[in-house]
Amino acid sequence: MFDKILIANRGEIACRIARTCARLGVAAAGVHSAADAEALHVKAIGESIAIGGAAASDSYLRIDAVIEAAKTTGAQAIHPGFGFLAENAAFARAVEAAGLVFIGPTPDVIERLGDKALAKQEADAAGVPIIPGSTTPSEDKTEVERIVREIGLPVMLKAAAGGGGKGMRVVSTFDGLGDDIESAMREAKNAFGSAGLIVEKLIPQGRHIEIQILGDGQGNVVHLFERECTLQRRHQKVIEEAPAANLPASLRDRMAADAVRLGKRLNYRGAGTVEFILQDGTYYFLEVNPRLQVEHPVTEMITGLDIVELMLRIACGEGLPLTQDQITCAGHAVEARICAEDPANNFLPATGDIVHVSFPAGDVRVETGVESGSVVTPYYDSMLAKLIAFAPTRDEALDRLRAALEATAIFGVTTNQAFLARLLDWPATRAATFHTRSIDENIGQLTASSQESDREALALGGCFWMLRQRETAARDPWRARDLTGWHMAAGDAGLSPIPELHLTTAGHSAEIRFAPMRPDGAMTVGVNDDEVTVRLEPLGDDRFTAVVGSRREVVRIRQEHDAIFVHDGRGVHAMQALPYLSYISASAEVSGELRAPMTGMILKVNVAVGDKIKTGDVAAVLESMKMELRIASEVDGVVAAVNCRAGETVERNAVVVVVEPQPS
Amino acid sequence: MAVMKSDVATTSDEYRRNESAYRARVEDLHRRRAAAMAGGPERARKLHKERKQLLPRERIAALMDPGSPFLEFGQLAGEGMHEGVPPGASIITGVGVVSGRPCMIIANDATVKGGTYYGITCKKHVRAQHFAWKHRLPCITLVQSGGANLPDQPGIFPDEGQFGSIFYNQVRMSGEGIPQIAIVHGPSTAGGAYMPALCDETVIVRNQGAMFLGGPQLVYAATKEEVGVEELGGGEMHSRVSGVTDHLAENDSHAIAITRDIVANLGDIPQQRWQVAEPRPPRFDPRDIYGLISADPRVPTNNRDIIARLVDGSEFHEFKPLYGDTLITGFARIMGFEIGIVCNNGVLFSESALKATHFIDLCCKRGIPLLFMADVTGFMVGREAEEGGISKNGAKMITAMASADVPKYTLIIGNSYGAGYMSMCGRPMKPDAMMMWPNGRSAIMGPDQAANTLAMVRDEAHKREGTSWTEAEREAYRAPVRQQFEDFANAYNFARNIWCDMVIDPLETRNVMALLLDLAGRLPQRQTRVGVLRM
Repeated sequence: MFDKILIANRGEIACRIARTCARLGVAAAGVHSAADAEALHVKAIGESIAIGGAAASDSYLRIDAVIEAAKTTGAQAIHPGFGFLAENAAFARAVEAAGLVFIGPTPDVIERLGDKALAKQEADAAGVPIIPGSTTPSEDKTEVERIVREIGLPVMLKAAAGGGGKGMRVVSTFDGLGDDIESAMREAKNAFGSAGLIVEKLIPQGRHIEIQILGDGQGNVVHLFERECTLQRRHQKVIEEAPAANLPASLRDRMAADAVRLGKRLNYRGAGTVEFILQDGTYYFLEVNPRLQVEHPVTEMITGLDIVELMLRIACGEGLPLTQDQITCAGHAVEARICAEDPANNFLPATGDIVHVSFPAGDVRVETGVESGSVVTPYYDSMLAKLIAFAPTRDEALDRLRAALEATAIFGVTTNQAFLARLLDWPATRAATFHTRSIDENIGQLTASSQESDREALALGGCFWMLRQRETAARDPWRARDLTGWHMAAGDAGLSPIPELHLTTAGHSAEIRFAPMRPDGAMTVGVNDDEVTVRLEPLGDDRFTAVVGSRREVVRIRQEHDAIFVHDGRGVHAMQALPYLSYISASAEVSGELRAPMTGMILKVNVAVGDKIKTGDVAAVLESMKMELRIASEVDGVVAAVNCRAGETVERNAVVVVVEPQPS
Repeated sequence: MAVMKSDVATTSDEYRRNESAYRARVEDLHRRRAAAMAGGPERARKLHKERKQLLPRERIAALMDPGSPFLEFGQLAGEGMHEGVPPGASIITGVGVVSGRPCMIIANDATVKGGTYYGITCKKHVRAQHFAWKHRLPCITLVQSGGANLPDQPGIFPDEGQFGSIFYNQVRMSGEGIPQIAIVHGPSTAGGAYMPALCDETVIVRNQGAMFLGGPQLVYAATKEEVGVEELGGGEMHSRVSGVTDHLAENDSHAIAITRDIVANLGDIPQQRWQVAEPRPPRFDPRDIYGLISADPRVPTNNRDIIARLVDGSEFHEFKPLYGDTLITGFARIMGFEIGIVCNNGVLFSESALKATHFIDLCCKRGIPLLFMADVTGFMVGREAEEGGISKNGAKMITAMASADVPKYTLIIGNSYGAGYMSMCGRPMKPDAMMMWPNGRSAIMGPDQAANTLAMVRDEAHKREGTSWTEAEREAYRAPVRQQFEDFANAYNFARNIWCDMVIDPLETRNVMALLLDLAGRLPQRQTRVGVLRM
């Protein structure tokens, strides 16, 4: 076994790899960017080398710096984790050239699998069924268009150099096909450095089943059963499980045998995943991911194996310590990915300071890359943590995951927790009647925010804010909580004549009024024109029993500066609290200032000073977190100023375009 | 401390009758308050809002700390006195917490007759000042007033306690270091201009507030000078040129924000000097009071049951329970504040008066505030009483009560007639605050007694002149007198004339007392100097 390895990654996976190292007595060193100096993985690993600026291209993607870090720290091998350099053949080559061990497949295999077209050819050659479509990448727009028309709709455009669900685009209409291809090529070019696309017949109602394989590089390949990752949002896996639900054993055996055969053909070394799409009992090869997968823990849970340990053993030449017969599977594991993103706002990545995070103890496996005080920057992937529940049956595992999700509190950045919770409650999830586009087809239903629950959360947040203004057991009645808002009652609710608080949550804002506190501690809170009567009974720390009508619910509420976080059964509602007086003193008239929703690079500016612009017209396009974000006008008017140009990086909230509002 | 015994049959017919009668009284109170809180007519309020100004109650709410209680004085002043003037008399006065410090807030309501001052408006303003003065509360005046309501001149101009006293009180309070602050929210002419000018620190709202001794029209008439409002006395001019105002605000809310900053810089907040205990609710439910107060004025209420529902833990250390038992005296806590209670439970006899004198003396020596709970038809009359020296004993009680320089509060919980009203610290005895429950009544004498007394005077006249009148004629004479006295005695008549500070629901009593006592406990203790006690 190695004495010391370098973990060339960040976040939860770096922490997770470090844990196995510690258990095996292998020393570990890490790397970090300028933005990550205080990150959890740096502390978890214990030793870390600064390798450059915040942008991944200035740090985690810098081959020379990573190898230099390995040499500096005396590491013998480098574990790349996933993402960043994990599937970069040039990196693997450079590692070997530097006399170090790359914990993963050979550069040659990475190269062949990294090219979608080549991978498909390999699979075909190994006798693995492949999806009808092009087998060679093309950067020629007209050629791609021709192939699409040849295969027939619907099709999938894939960045040949892509992976991890990125750089894929579904085409289901010929309208705007040219634009779709152009945009896919631009994304591919930006994200993977090559605009080459391949075209595949779309399997519209397929399930995503993948087989975990391990090879020793000597021709021996075993599989660790399958995982199901059918619950995806725009090709991004959301919830993964192992084994797949209701998968006939014969089918699984065939898929596993195909995966192993492909692995053997490649003389595969290390851990890899062969992905298939399954529909109506027929499956096709998708791709091989030559690395550790995000969702590897579910396989670990059902097999009792540590895949990172096996990767280390293979890499250091110990070979495969297990034969296929020795690998068994029992029980059911489900994983949910908690990401800093805002489901109410088209899953826009969220950034900010995590003021508080707490995970459930026991009963669930937690893989986290953040802790209280961590900062979520716009530079990297938005995944914060994974929760993995394991139980004898699928239902129990889902229940456990649901409970664990509820017990997880992350305050400070918007997360997809409520979306995950709703997804776990979804009948299609429970019954496993989903396909890879189920979430996308039902996204409205799955993300619809109930106005009532928003209202209640605002009322609770408002009530909490008011209680904080007042003293708990003060003997001074002017400040005592019991006399909050007391005045000579006139028989009505007695709401204050003017709002006392302005709360802003994702998407909307509310003016909050308060009625005097009742003798039983209940308080009627006016949320805009509605009234909600709530009572908060403190349970210690940030926990309260919230009483709303006949319902009692344990919630967590915290305040950090102006931010209030209400964590109820529907997730965390983050709200910005501004005393009304400050709010009305500060609020300007409606302006036509268009601001950057997050820090990023301006891709395109569509307007010039003097242009007429209508509500909804896109004034500029911003690229951030590998996404194209449109900055649209909220008013009709004339462009008065353009403060940005294409290629320029702008800060979050920077005013990029100013529109002089004019009625059309 | 001893827990009172008070078993009440809440299922008796009498209890139920009382309770439903009292609920109707409380609803009536709520109706009157709602009218007061609404302010001026819908049209005027809408216009006010269209000008992007805050209504006076909105200004007050914005000025106070979030969640601050608001203890309003004279809320029902002037009710029914002037056509088109809702209860409140075009001004709102009350105590609320601003930047952590209780302040007296005085706000003109421009939606009621342009915020002009009637005689009763002046009285309410002055009463608020007196309360502030006594309690050393900073005064924040939100000025938006057309000045004097000219036809009401006799009630406004010549006398003490009228408009001019507002200035006098401002000056004297300022001299005593009680901060005087004003926001000029609207045009303020002549007297209206002096109000902010006489303040320690003044804020004016741009293009909205204005101050001048004579408005543009008067100036033109006097000197033929043509000048606009803003030029003559606008915020910009006064803040940059004349220096009449100290802070220029962009709008109402900005002015209020500045004012909160002014109050935040008034120095240390006076500390509570009393040891306030943890507030505890009474052991007996205060809601029972509705069913306990006799709906029939001729049937007395057992006020010991009432005390048991007002004091913390229903714990009462009664003083001289066996002596002069038509008056209850004793120590208790209300919302944690120690207090001496003097409460009627029947007609005042010599013994009751002597007991009261002794008890008030104890409170003065101990620095304990006094609460007079009045429910009395008067002192006992008759030969026995006079021989027992009831005049001098009553005088002792009045001397002790009037001399007592501890905080004093009066709460009329039933009747308060004649000399009983005086000796139970009626308004002329200058209690720090006087409250009435909706059933409270007060007059020189009861309606029947008044009708009888006046009828007897006429009987005498008939006798002298040898004439006579029938029983029917006698009753026809008595009925309107009775009605007149009943109307007079009504709690709302007292509230209308600001003879009391507020009419409160019995269930509000503990909170009102706590708010008042907290203010009193932040003042230095005073030495009581007792007048000569006739022995």
